[in-house]
Amino acid sequence: MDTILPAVAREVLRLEASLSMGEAVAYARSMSVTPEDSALMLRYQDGDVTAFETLYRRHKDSLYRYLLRLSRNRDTAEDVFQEVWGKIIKSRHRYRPTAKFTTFLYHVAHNCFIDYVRRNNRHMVASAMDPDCRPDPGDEPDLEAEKSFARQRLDAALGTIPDEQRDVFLLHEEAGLSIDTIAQVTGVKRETVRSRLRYATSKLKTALAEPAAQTQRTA
Amino acid sequence: MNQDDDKQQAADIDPHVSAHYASLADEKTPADLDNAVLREAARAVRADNRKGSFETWYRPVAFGATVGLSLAIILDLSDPGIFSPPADMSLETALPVQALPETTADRGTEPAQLPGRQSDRAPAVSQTQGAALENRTGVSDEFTAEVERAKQRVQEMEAAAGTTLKPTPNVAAKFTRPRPAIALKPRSLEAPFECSDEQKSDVEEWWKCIETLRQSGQAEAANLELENFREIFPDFELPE
Repeated sequence: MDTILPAVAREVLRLEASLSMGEAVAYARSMSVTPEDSALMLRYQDGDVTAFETLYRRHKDSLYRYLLRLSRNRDTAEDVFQEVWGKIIKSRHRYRPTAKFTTFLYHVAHNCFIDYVRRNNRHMVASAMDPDCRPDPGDEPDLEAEKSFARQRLDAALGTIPDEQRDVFLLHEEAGLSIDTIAQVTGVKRETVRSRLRYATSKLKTALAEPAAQTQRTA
Repeated sequence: MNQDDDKQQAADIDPHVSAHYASLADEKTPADLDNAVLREAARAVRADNRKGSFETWYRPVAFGATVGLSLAIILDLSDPGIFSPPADMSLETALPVQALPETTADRGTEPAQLPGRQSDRAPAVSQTQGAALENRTGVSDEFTAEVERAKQRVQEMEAAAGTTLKPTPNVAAKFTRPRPAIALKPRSLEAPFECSDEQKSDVEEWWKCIETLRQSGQAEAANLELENFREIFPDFELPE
């Protein structure tokens, strides 16, 4: 995971762990080359709307995909998505950069989704998600059709695994969270997260491999 | 994250599955959803700005108004005004007493003491008390009008008598209950209060009756009988 983050971000995280709160905030605010999420959120706290726009565009798609595949319902995903950002906007004055913004964001998203399900008493039934994906102009029509078919297989495979395992898998893949962070977000033990992730990966691998094997046999 | 955690995480996931997922999961948020969220973010900042500008001025104004109102109340309560009577005012002196002005016949006589009645002569109202009453009882205009009328009556009496009354510096102080013209002596229960017809038939008896009335303290009755006596017996020489 460390290879994914830029070197500057890793330095910020290291300093945040060693510095006091005030020093960490000041350091975050001083990052101007590539503003980190915490710095952007603090600037939005001070009234900078453009900082929020940057932060939003950075995380909106991955959050949307997380909610889309977690709920397996497009309308639910959009409702929860809007609710998550609404809560973040309302709580901007209480935001403190004690953890990564991504952890904060997906923690809120996870809780909002659970509350939404309880509130609506809705079992997560897969519906036609019909994700709003823009076809790559460079792709050939056949390639686009194949991609769409593969996506449907992926979604179907995700539907076969339990909700808790799917949640852990998506937090890992979309948010890029570590095992410990996922444990913090979901409120379970570290070992529980590991086992859920292991099982989810194994089942997906099996589910994704089967059609391909059938295709090879028919071919 | 240490190396052990990296190894564990690597063991928990399948890189092929992760790669497969990453290649297919490329959905984007709808444009209307983006607009809704960004609009809400901008609206929140605008609301903060409005609230901030309101808070910058309403707190000092509210504080100033509270202090000003408190001071005004304190200052108003500390001023006696019309609601707190002076310390030296008592019930007996609070009521102004209006009376007829003194007449020339009253001057020089002692106030009569009626039997069984205490002197009900009201104390004179001093000038300061009168001024204080004017400020508090609200009847100053009426009282002043009465004073003026009394002055006028005095002047008329002076003109009629041909003399001037002794000037008094404080007219209000003279407005007391009138002193009786004649000091009445206690009346005897056995003494007659008029002469009978039999007495009136004889000059000497009638005169004795008049003397008796005078000695018994019924001067008024005696004077009345005396007047009648003089009309009937004008030549009778009255004893000295």
